[in-house]
Amino acid sequence: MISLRYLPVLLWICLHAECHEKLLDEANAAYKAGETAHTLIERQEAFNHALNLFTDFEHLYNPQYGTGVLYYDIANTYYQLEEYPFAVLYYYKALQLMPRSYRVHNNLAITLDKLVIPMNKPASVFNDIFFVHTRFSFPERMQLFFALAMILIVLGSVYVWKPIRIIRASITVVSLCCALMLFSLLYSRYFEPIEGVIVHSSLLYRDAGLQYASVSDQPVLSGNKVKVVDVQHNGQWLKVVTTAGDIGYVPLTAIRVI
Amino acid sequence: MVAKSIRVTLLFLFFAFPSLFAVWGTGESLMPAAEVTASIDPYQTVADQPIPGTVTVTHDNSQTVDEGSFQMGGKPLKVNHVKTVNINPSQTVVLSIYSFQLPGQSAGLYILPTISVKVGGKTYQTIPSSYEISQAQQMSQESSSGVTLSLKALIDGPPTVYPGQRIWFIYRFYFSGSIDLTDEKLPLLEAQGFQLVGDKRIRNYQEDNIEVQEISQQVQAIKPGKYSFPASSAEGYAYRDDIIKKRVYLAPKLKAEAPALDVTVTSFPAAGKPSAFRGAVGQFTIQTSLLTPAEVGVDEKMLLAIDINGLGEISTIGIPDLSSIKNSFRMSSLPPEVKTQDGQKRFVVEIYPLATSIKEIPPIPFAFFNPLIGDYVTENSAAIPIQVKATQVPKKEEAAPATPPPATPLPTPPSPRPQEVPSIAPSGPLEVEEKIQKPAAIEIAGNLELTDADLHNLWFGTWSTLYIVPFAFIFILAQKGYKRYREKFPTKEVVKTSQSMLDAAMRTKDPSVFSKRISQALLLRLFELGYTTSEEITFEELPEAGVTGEVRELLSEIEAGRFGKQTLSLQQLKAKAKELFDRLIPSETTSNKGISNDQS
Repeated sequence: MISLRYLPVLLWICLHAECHEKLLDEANAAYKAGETAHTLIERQEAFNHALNLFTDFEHLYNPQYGTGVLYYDIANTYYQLEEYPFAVLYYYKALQLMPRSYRVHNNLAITLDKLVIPMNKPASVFNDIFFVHTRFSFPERMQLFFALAMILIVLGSVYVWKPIRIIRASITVVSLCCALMLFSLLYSRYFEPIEGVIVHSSLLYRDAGLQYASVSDQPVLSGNKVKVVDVQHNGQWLKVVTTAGDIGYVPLTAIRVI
Repeated sequence: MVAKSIRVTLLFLFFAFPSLFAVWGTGESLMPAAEVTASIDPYQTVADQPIPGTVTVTHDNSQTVDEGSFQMGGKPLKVNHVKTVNINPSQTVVLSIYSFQLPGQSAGLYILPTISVKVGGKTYQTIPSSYEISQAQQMSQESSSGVTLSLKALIDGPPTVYPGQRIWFIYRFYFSGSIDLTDEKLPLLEAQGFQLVGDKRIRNYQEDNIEVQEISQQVQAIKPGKYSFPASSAEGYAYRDDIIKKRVYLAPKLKAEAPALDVTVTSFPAAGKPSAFRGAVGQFTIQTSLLTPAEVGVDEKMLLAIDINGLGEISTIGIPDLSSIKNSFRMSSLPPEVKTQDGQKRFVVEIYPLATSIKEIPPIPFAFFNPLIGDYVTENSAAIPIQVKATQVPKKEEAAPATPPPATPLPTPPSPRPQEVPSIAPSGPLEVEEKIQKPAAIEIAGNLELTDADLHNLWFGTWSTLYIVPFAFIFILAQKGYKRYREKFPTKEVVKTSQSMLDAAMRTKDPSVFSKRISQALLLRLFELGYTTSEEITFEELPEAGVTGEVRELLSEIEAGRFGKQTLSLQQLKAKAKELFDRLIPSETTSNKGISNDQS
């Protein structure tokens, strides 16, 4: 029997869970209300409300190894509010966790089209060969690695007590898969470039400071994806490489890291 | 066996080390090792001059660098903290950069000894490296007389500079002979308070047999104010090449100075500043044109090009004030497309007419400051006639209207932007207002239902999962070790005796358990003493005569008591059973196993 002294804690958990469920329902309903609104003002109010709730969830939980649905929903809401650069940012975040989602790819393409930015298509041969790396999100690959490791533990345990040849062969195959998966995970962690999205159009400066000349007269337009190669001034300036190959600095206020 | 151990060890290293390394990298629970490097600035290693150096410590943000613990070659080293740089905002690894200075040394090749420092309580050290001290200051006995060096600083621009205007900062070095500069202080080229425009330009020419090197930098004024630039200076040594093309430096050191300069950026006059002024400086004209047909429907997209031409600072031209068209047109939230070419700036703006009553795109004002006359000028573009037709929009309850409702033109002036309209007018132009406010169809696939599971990281989807690797190895190796132990020390089978079973029966307080245990104890005792040939028989199979008969009688009594009224208490039964158990002695026929089940 549970002691009475734990009652307030249990009560708090129940209330919290109930409140949490309500907020989730409220956020989903607000987005739906925005979609079905009859006037622009109603639509904007509903989408703004949904966005507030979604971003609160993001700050509270930060599900960077989650399903990606939250990022997708935030991106959609930004799109509906015509904040296309932020929508692009969150579609890219969602894409990292939902790489096989047709919805995300399609919505991202529509948003980039709005911003008149061509969509980069990665090399298909690489995709086909390293399909596990490109078509599975990082947490999914981590789960696969875990499952393979568990199989390896079971097979290894059986082999310790019953050293049968077929089990040994199975261990070799599973170990190889495990190693490949680990390599894929480490590659994602240490070798994949850090990318960001320009959320406010900015000139590309030759060094980290507004006093420096710009690389070109044309600013890097918002919505463009860039590679982040260096950080200056305690993270206030980022050295980036644009898709056109230009290298320069942009202030942190103009960019968000995916 | 050895080969197998090596294989296992290698496999462990292959999996475990990268995994731990990866987990450390995330900074989730394990602390990464710090790294310390030291270097001497190769460009400032001049003989008999202090030698500046840098120590870079790469460490986790939570680890502190003990600045008092720096030691070089076992002796304390005084360092100054320069800065701390966060490499990646998503990581906790930072670079702490420290500077130090070594006393001057004569020219030659030296070894920078090991520098050690305590980071997070642990001592780390650098790898010794080499550095070279050049002999720039190693003077010959020859004189540098005849070699001259002078410096001139000047500003090329209008007498009054306004924010946004561009001017040139120029340095001219006048010299004869060959000079190797060792120190330069050229504050104009840093242009504090101004924005640099493009790269420095360097031009070399001759003036009255004197070599001139001109370094110029274009800058743009940003904020009004007085900007003072301290005196500029340059110093160095004259040199000549000897027969093997090696430089021989000549004394004394040459030095040139230019006086301090002030630049005043004047603020735009407050009097007469038009509301449409956005900071453009120069003399410009404005023209507008439509890039899409002039005949459109309500809330249909139109592309309006705004061209600004003229003389002046093109970079200061911002998007003109569009408030004159905002009452009649909805503006896109996208930033306008901007193109700059041949002294012309073009803005392309997306606009959407709000009502059929709109007949033209009104003139757009463009205000700028003309520095030649020192006053503001406002130019207006010409109005562009357009025709706005009613658009067929379904009413709220209609899925697909058969015929479009007749459009009612709005009375002028047209309604404000739809986003800013709080409510719909009750009558009159209601239908048109509804059409304006009716939102467009949703263009993208809808949201996915957000559930609680979407707010959390996936199970075993984070870096912590890699802890499975060392666990797996430990688990497998533990099994192997246990198996080896079992093979070496096999377990002894515990043999139950009638005495141990009797003791267990005596300890119990439960009559039914006692009944079972005492039955097993007595029957086993009979078997041990040779009264029966099997311990598996029941008490009903025991002979009725002799001690076996007594055992049979006692067990029958206990069994009968379980299902009926017990005449004796548990204690009495225990005493009786104990007494009987003790009375059982080895059978006379133990050696030949005379009594068997069959005899009964």
